[in-house]
Amino acid sequence: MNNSGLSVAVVGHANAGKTSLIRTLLRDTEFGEVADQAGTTRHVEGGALAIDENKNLALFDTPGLEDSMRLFYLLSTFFDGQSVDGIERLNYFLAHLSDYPELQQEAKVLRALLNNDIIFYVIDLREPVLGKYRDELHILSYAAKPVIPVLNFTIEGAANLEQWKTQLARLNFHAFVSFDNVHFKFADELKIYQKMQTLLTDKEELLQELINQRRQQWSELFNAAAELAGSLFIECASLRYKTFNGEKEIEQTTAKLQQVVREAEKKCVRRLLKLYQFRKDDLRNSQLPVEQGGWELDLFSADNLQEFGIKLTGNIAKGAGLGVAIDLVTAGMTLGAAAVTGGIAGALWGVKQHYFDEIQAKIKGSRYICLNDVTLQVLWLRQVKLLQALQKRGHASFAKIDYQITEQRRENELPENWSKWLRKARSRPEWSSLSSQSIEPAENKRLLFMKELCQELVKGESLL
Amino acid sequence: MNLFQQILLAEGVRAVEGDSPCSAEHAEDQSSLSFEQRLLRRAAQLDLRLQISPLFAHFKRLFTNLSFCLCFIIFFIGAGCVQQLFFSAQGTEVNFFWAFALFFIPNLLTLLLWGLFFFQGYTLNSGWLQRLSMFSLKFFEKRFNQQSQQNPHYWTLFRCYFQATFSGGLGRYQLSGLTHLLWFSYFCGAVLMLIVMLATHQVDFIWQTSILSVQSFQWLTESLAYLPKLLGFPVPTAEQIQQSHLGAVNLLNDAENTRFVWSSLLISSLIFYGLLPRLLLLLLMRFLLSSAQMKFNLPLSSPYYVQLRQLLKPNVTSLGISDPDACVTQPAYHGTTAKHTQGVPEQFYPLAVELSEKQLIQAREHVKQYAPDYCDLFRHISDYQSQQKLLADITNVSQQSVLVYLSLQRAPDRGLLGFIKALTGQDNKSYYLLLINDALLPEDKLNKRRSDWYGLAQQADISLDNVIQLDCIAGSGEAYE
Ligand SMILES: Nc1nc2c(ncn2[C@@H]2O[C@H](COP(=O)(O)OP(=O)(O)OP(=O)(O)O)[C@@H](O)[C@H]2O)c(=O)[nH]1
Ligand SMILES: [Mg+2]
Repeated sequence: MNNSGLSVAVVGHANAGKTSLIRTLLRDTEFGEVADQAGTTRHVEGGALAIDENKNLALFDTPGLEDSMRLFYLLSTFFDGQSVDGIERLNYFLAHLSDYPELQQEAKVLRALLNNDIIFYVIDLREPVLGKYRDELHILSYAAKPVIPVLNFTIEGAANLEQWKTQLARLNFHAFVSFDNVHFKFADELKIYQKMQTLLTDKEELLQELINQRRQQWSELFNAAAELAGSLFIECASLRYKTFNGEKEIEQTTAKLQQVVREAEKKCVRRLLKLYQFRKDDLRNSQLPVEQGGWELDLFSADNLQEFGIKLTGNIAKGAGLGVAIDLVTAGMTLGAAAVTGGIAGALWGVKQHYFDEIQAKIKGSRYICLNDVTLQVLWLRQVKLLQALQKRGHASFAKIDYQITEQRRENELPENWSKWLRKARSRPEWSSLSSQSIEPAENKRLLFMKELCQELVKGESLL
Repeated sequence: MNLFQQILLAEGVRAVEGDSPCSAEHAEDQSSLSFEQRLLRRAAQLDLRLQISPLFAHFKRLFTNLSFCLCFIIFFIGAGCVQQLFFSAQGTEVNFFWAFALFFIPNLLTLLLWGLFFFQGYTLNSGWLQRLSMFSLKFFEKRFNQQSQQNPHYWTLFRCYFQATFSGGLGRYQLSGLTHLLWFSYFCGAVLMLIVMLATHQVDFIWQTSILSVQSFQWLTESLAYLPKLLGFPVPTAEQIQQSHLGAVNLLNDAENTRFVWSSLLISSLIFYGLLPRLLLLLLMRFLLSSAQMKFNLPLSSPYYVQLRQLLKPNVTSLGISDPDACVTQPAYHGTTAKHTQGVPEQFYPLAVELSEKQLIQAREHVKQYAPDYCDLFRHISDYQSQQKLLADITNVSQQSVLVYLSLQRAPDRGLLGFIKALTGQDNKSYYLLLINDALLPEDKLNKRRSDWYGLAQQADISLDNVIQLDCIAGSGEAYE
């Protein structure tokens, strides 16, 4: 239909998943109409995938074939049993279409067969090989165009695979591909284009260009998604709020922290969905189970002291440490000051055993509240699960995306460097834009850290 | 506006928009433009509203002005140093090497330091230089520019601009250029002052040492003088060098000439070893900076730009509907979808239509149980020939009830409807549809399917009570995974 690019007619029995196939290939959840019913699509509709500035791959959706047995019978009765090419028969039928008003839909399919360069024949693998499907394949062969049978419902119909393969081979269709619209695999999509390459040798380069482009876009998409997820982790892990030491204040700050983290996660998930071009309501609603009470990281917790990297030993520091710390507290210590005087805090850690209670009692200052380890684990694992779900989801899916984490150990595998990451992020409150305005998201170390996170997220997924 | 500025503008738009791009406002036809071009166009368009480029121009001016202020100050410092040196010198004698070293050695040290940062910058500074420069700029801006709060995105854009220009290669060349510029103006001040001082003062140049040999000084001076001499500056001869040694007997008649050649050597060596290298480095940095600007790229793989690409240049276009539907569609069935499992007639003629092998076995068992007499007559209709044959034979069947076994999970299509209609239209037998449920579909889908079958029954004039469901779940537990 377009001379510079390539056009495909997607045909098949009613309800086999033709419209779904096009939705998945175009990554367009809005294309056409999809319903679990025969005769959903009533007209030929096209969508194009750009290859370069002026070439594209056009995909044309057609109504489902519903009465192929009668059509095939009719075609064979033309020309009184003389041996005439299939294509003549199709043309004859189309010329005399007014005699067969009940075959209007089939006629549209035939026109699409004749008008396009190549044909995808969508097969619902759950179905046994029936007479009507054989007749459809016969009719396709009349069009004298390359045909790629696309086996759909590969999971539900796995048992029928062999039967279909044999039947296809018998009718001389050897270049089939398995492609499930719901359980999407990017490698399978590429296989379709590769099969097209073998069948259309003069369009090989064009298709190679398409393959390269799709590959690049796919990895770009995945990397961008990983960056979003990684950024969410950094934002949340390095977030901390300062609060006064009273019970009520701590409670309030905790509530605020939880709210902010929830919002951040929701926003990130929404951006991910948008990036992958899914609908907003494809998501099963689930809230991050921020644990009650958060986790208190005050200046005297072991974690915090370790982040300063200073462990003063010996008795010299002990006596001095006590006095100075109390001075600091009364002076209203800020975190920046704390970092500077990390040595003093370290000294204090050394005397904790002896004087902890006294110090604690004397402190009327503030403490810091941040997310606890478990919550961060859940946050991370959910992002991992969501990314995987998005990677494997076809755009014809109607099932909700579920990224809730369960207790199952198998899938809840934390990255190797988890505790190192946690320490790193927690020692950098300035990396979180959730708490302060003047962050430096482009700071070198943060970028490096982000890269590390992204690598971890992308690690398991090979792009081919 | 050059390309670099346009790109910077796009980054500015990104800084203002934050996380995700809002949709583009483009009026003209852009079909022939690449994504980058569209991106820059969009930025230019948004700039009209957001007023980013005046701010960026202002930031650029800020940096330039600040640089020139510093230059000015340093120029006077250089001049002041020379003046200080000549004033503090006892009498009219100036120690030549001391004067030279005083200017040259700090320069050399900072040059080495610069080289270290320049070539090993990534491991050494990790951004603090950038932060320091940004901090000082911000300080100045806050101090001296009261209108800075007018644009709501002022500080966002401020950060964006200087982050882009001060980080990576750009920042390296920018800041390197600045240091060379400052040293250059220092030497300019020094040389000018030196010329003025030497023109208006009479100084005798001497050199002295406690631990080095006279030969080594001789050699040092000659090698220092090599380049100026080559370029035609008058330099002291070996004899004159000898004579300038502290305590050497001075031949009065040559004193004037000696003063002149030593002055010439001092000036020319400051020019050749201080001023000129800095000037060359400055020019080199300028060149590197502009070529880095030419190569400056947007981080197109970041989520923001990936999303923007989807917006600005979607790689999917709709081709519309090309073969519209003319005929009227059948109205959908909207009646009851309740399931009947009872009502199989006492005796019936059994008929299977388009079943899978497993379903066929189930159907056979059912026939054996309910209509054992017809076991042999049971047939499976799955293609055109068998359909035609059945239509021919059905009139000869004496049994009044015909039970058609069908697969519940299949969506009934027009072909099947046509066939069933043909059957029911033949004579006045009563037809029953027995829908075999393999439990392959979830419950909600089954309900939908059942209503599809009811629709078919209605169109084929079969009473809905005669549509019966046969659940084969227990017998076929292994049916589905
Ligand atoms: N599980 C699963 N469901 C699928 C798959 N492909 C399509 N579906 C479902 O099958 C049903 C039919 O899909 P459609 O895309 O409307 O099929 P169609 O061939 O366009 O149908 P008509 O337009 O009526 O001819 C829908 O409910 C889809 O959700 C698949 O690969 N796996
Ligand atoms: Mg459809």
